[in-house]
Amino acid sequence: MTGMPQSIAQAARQIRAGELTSRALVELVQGRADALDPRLQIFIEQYRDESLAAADRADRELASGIDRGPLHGIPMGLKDNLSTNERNDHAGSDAIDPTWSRRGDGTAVRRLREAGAVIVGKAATSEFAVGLADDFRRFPVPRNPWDRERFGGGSSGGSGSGLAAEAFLGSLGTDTGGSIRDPASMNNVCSLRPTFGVVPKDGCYPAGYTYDAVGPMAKTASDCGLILSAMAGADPADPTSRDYDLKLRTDDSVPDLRGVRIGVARSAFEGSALLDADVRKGMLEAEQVFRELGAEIVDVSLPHWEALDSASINGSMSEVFSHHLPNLQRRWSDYSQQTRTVIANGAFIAAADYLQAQRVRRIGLDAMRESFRGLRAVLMPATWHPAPLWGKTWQDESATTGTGGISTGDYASPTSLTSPWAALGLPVLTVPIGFNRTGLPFGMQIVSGPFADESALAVGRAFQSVTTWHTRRPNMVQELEQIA
Amino acid sequence: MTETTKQATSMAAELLRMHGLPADATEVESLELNFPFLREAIGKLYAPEFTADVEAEPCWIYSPEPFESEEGK
Repeated sequence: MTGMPQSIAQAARQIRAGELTSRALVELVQGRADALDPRLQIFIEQYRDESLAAADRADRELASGIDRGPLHGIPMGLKDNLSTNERNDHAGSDAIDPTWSRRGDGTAVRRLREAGAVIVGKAATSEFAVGLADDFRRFPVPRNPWDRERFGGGSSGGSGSGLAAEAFLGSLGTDTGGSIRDPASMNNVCSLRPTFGVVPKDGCYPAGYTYDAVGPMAKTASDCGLILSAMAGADPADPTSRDYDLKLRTDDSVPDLRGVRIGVARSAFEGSALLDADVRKGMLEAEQVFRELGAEIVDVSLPHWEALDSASINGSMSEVFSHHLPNLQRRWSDYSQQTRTVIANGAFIAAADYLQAQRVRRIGLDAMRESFRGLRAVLMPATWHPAPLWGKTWQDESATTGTGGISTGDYASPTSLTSPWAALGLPVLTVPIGFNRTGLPFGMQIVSGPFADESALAVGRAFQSVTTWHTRRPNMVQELEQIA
Repeated sequence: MTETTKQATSMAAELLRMHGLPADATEVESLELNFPFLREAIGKLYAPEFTADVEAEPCWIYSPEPFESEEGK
């Protein structure tokens, strides 16, 4: 029996070599889901019959000479805040307007299907992608396949844990302040938050209109590039979307990093009490990998970092509050208490504050341009620590201290490694860089300038060409392979 | 906590009422407790480097586009 391909690129090669069919691949991932979903709560719903029918169509097309590209016949999962033709979209909430789920495929999803991807189901998210470990709704809340007693990350938790569990080979997540990077780090997979506007947001339930990004998740940086290349490009349905020649590579080419300068944003994480010692060690080892590849590692300062964290949290909070206010007034009790309390913080942000946040974003981007000058990318951890235990997440802790689940006002706020990049709209690749002493994974952010998504992807491909962290699989997945 | 933020805390419940949000007493208390932290974070947006050039900056928020039916006239 064919084993599970460990990347989209590998599966695509096997399909074209006649070693695998799309149907066989979809049956393989459905087998994984049957075995693991009851333990991990990955899916809101699986499209079992629909995905098999789509796989058969993909196989027939290839047999007749129609090849839609590297995603042709590849099983993919979608975060539940992305609308689909299957129309069972909830954004993880009972408070959603039922007409929203009648929109049908959003632009990114439609483009994936046009590229031949087989959508196998909707992956669980926290309510309205707010990102909380809200383990008290009627919807599934993903467990971490590396340790079921731990959080699967949020808010794209199902997209991350499902990838690690091999219930699909690629997935879509969304990111407002870190929601695609946090679960990538905690599940030992990759994600790309694309430059703002590169992937149209049509069909993505809004969290922060000017912060949201739809992005790919996969086991490798190379696969993230394949998925992005199928989705990128302006669409009239999203006026913030942009056409820009990203010069994406769709092969496994590894760039030569000799003489390339890569920055490390040490001042943004070193010295913080939140930084886990193993994550710190992993970052130092990752830097050494790049040195051995010939890159020059330089320290880089990130101007206005604290203000950009505030601009991200308070700007997106204003936008999510604006979006939800009419619904909150009518259907307060349909929201979970945790979610509605977090969103209600938007009532305390004045219009002048919101506009000032936009001003800070503009000034911050101008200043960051200087910091990035001459650098291919900037590195920093994706999360302060590996996945926390249930009941020990920052939201739980802030709830017990009465801070309503958002920033405590400290500089080292839980999202302060990720949210400033969202305020700037820069592309951020997350890749696995190690495991702590108890076997929990963690990742690193690779950040590039606006529309230099390929630079971040290329640096990630180079890193993964000489490291094996991304090839490690959770014990529960390896055990299934041995049984088969 | 500064005196200003202490005073601001008492405004939280009123702001929730003003927005028509039916938060219960526990929720109001939680939000009131968070309020000063939120305002302190917002205060970082008003550091001098972000306010010094306001007078000189161009209008940068709103820019109209022609109506489609008006194009070419």
